[in-house]
Amino acid sequence: MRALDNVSIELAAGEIHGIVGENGAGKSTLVEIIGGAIHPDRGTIELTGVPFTFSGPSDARARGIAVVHQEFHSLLHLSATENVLLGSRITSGAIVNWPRAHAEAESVFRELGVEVDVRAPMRSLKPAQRKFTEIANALYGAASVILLDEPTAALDPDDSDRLLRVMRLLAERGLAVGFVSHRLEEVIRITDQVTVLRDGHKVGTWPTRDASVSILIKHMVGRELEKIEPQTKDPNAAVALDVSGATLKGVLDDVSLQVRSGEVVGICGLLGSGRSELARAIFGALPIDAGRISVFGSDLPLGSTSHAMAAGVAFVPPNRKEDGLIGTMDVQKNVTLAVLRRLRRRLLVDRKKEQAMSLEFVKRLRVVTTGIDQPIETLSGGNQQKVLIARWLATEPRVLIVDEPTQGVDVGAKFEIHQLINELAEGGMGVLLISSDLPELLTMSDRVLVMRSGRLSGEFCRGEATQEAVISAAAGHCLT
Amino acid sequence: MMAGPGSKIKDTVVRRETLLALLLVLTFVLVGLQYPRFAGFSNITNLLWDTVPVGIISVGMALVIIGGGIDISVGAIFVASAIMAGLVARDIGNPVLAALTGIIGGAVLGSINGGLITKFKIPPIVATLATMSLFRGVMTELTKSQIIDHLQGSFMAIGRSKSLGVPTPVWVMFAVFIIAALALRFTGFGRVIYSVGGNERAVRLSGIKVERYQALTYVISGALAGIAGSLAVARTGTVTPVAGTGLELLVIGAVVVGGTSIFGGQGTILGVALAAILLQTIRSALVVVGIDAAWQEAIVGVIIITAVSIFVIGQRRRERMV
Repeated sequence: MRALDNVSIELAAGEIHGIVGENGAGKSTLVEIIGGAIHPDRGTIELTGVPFTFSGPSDARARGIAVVHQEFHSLLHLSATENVLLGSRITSGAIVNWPRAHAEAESVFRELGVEVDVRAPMRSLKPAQRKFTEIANALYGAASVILLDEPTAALDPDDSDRLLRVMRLLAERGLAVGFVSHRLEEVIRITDQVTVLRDGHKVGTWPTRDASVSILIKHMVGRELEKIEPQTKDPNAAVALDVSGATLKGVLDDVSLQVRSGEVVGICGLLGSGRSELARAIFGALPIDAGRISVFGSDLPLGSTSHAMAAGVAFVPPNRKEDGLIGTMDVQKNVTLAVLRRLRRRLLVDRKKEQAMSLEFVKRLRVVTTGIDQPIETLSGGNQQKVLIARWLATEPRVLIVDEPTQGVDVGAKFEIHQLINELAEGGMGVLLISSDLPELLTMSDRVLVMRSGRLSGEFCRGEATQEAVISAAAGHCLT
Repeated sequence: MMAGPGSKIKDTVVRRETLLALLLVLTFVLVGLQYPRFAGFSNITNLLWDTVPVGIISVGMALVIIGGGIDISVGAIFVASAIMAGLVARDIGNPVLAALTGIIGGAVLGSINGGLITKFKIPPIVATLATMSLFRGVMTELTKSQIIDHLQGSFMAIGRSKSLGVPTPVWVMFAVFIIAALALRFTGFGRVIYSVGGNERAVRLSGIKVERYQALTYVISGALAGIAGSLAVARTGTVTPVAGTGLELLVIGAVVVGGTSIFGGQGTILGVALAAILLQTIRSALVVVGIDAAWQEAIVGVIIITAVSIFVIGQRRRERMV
């Protein structure tokens, strides 16, 4: 099978070109080829009409093609200045001229219209500022083509917005900008042209004004996805989760909320707003100073994950690689991790029961695998996420907390996960959904709560929640 | 589609153990052709007898490393247990009491490691490096650097007895291999250890008390070093505070050559057992064919590098497939 088959794409100077497709469609391969990291078996790359073959990424870079990867490639212990000037000469003789270096870096950021403390080490910068630094590095290297692979995936709505404006600025300065993204709303909003890939083939390129999110999805998955219809919820259903006065110094400030049985409550907030900490606190993974958490009327002891689990709370963490998956294990063992105790017969793990359970969940969640013994690492992001959700459904929860359930998940799997969450809610589960994907939050949630600096700063019912209203409540100011 | 990457990983693991077994047979055949006595029953028995300390302690080390830690103090615990058991055997004489003292003593020292690592969050390599010095220092002071000998015969009888022509310590070693292999593979404990080594945070977020399991691996590692120490002193009848110096390196060598990932989460007792026996066999073969003592260790070092490189390269290739 070919990762990429006879794909042609033209990036025009002064334009933003969106590249979309499901995981495995070939987007990253295309980016790697243009960036010089992969040699194509066939085909050519032309820059301003002149054909080139790149010997490697540094060669492509020298000719003005810069790639900003999804994962941060910057040197975390060095300052922003060093990362901006990386690969360029900043020395006079043997000595680094620091004042000049900082000044140069600052001027690049000023051109981009963003504020970054150039003397701060990268690790202390926010994800958005790190992205800006990588973009600044590309710009300082006199790039004429810049490809951004999922640049907004780890950013909250406010910062995503800023990054999109920076991309527009780059295009206005005459660069050709390639924008690979799963966030179709952003692609529609910012790009001039959009190319859709599917299974290594190019489906087509369209002017963005002729496209829409649903058209893109149709081309990406090759079929039409039904719309998710919101269900009317019983306002008098039992309170599944009741949090009152949750406080943790410097992180959470008197947070109170309720999730009723059958309800999906969304939490929106910027990074650092306390939204993820709130989830951990409810699950008992983060001890809090004060507050009361109860599930279907009975109080939980604070700071105990095992008590929370016993009471029926499940928590699907964000960052499935770091916090979720056991990368060395197969699908089956990843599914049953949280219910090992229930699978024990004396000291032993009951293998038959374990197998039956994982098969059931793989089937129910439509996880695409070669078998339950397939190593989890070899699954696609969407299927890994489904396995993680399966792990928590196996605990038969009554309250489900999901943090970024669809980050880095392709459209088809995302749709299925949304459907699943709705089904679970219909079955009486109380769902707390945390997401930086605003459209997801707005379509999924019966109510959206907004967090800012550890406090709840707004609440919107379905219908009143619009992107603008939610973002300005989250950011604490009105966006222009 | 690639057909079943799952089976591929399984193949690699199987291949690793098959490879070790083949190397073992090969060593016996090659050396045995020149020196027939090398492959004879009595030499093989002696060889296994010599493997006992490293073999038994490797099992504990494998548990610790699979669980994402490391235990540098095993050599020190080994000698401390040997001294404790030796003192009881010399002054009281009850062989069972002597053996229990060594084993429980080892477990207690192991629990100090476990406590430092899980309660005070000291990185395993630092904690066990410190306790290594601590245990050795205390033992040297306690014994005033004197050799302990003149043990009573009943204790020595354990160390030197044989059944079916095979020394009791060798039977003990094989029992440890089998029990550990089964426990790792089939018990909930084994599953959690592998999971913790694979991703500690994920296991913690699954409501499992990670620290308990981690601490337990150090206690087991200590107890096994205690068993090895007791058996060693029962075999030789003497022990000095400097015995077992560098033992931890031989043990870690066996564990990684056996295919255990130094990053945790992967490894089998079968592989570790084969590697422990193989390394001892190669050392012994080098002596038999008359290679200079200095070169022997160098050659063992090369074997360890080769084995680990094969593992790392295999892993990279797998990652690239993904």
